[in-house]
Amino acid sequence: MAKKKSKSRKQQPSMGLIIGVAVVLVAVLIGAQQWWNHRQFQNSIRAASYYEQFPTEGTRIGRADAPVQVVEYFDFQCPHCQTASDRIVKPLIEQYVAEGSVAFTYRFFPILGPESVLAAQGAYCAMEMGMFWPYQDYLFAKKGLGNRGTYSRNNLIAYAREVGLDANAFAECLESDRAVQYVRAAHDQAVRLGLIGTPTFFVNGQPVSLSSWEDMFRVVEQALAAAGR
Amino acid sequence: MSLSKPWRLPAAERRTEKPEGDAGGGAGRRAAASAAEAAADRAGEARWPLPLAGLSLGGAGLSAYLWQAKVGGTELICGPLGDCVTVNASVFSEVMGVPVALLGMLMYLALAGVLLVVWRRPDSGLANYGFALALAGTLFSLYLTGLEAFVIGAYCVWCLTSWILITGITWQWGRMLRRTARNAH
Repeated sequence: MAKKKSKSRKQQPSMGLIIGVAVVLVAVLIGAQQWWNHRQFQNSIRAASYYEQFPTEGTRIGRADAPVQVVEYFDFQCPHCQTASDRIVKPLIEQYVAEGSVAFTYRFFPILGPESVLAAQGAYCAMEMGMFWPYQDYLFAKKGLGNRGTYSRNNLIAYAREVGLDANAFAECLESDRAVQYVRAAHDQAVRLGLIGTPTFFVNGQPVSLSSWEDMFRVVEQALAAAGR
Repeated sequence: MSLSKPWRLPAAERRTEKPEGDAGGGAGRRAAASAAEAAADRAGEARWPLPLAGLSLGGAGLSAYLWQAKVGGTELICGPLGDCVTVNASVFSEVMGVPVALLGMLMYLALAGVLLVVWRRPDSGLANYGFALALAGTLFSLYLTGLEAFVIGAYCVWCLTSWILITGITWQWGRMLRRTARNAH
């Protein structure tokens, strides 16, 4: 009998321990998730302040009178556009836009489904609220593909909140007719130009055919040389 | 060692306690009670791991589906209820870059594994850790459901199903532990 009691006493702390283990495990998971999301948020804040150093207007970054004007027709869900964001757009801004020799403009050409259109409308709303550049950076960083929810309405609103936009005003804009009309007009303009895919680049109005990402910098250098810079 | 061996964890655990009970006097009333409990095991309680195993494997399958949808391996079908696409792509669908659905699948598989070990080795003491894992899964699912309701603003029917599954597993596992503890007295 004494043995039994001692055995049951041994089991009591064991139950307390296993509940403790469960609670600690959940606390670690929640803590890790919150810490990671907070870090992502800090990164987006840094991205926002990074773009503040450049002159921007709408989807253009760089001086309006820069000798070389680069334009990209893009779709947020296009994997090559996502790569181009890292391999072309960011180095261009870093090397050429910063010194005032190049201006870069994004033009919407959503051709890969409903989330491409929604993401473009979201980027339009961010543009309207003066935050296109940090917002597009955030959307590209998500690397959403195939209309799988990355750029769903609710997530676009959540991303807007994370880059510091007023979520209610953003949501109102996202569903507005003006956002739909702007994106439709941009799409139709690309179709009128005869474009059939993304990304498509233009340098000083001339289409650029790329066989590698580095080709873009060669073309920009040639355009700068032609402009006497 | 045959796979057709019945699931008899509580009875097996009680067997390890029997010598102490017998040493206490071996009264006829106690023996009768023990026989009645064993009969209860044979009648119903002995079958408990089968639903538990089924729930664990079902949860693993469900999580695997959500994980594959998350990484683009398959299309996510939500049905008329909620917006699982938004939830599965939200910033809360990952923990430090690891999809929550993958963590869920690993948890369910671990539970099935622990169940298998406990079935083969009832005295291994792993049942407690299985319960701890299931309880952690329930609490984390509760947290995620709270996020769906109050932060994301969308519900995922598959995630809610998984929450119900893991809650059922925890409840079953807790019942098993309580029964084992009661039988040990």
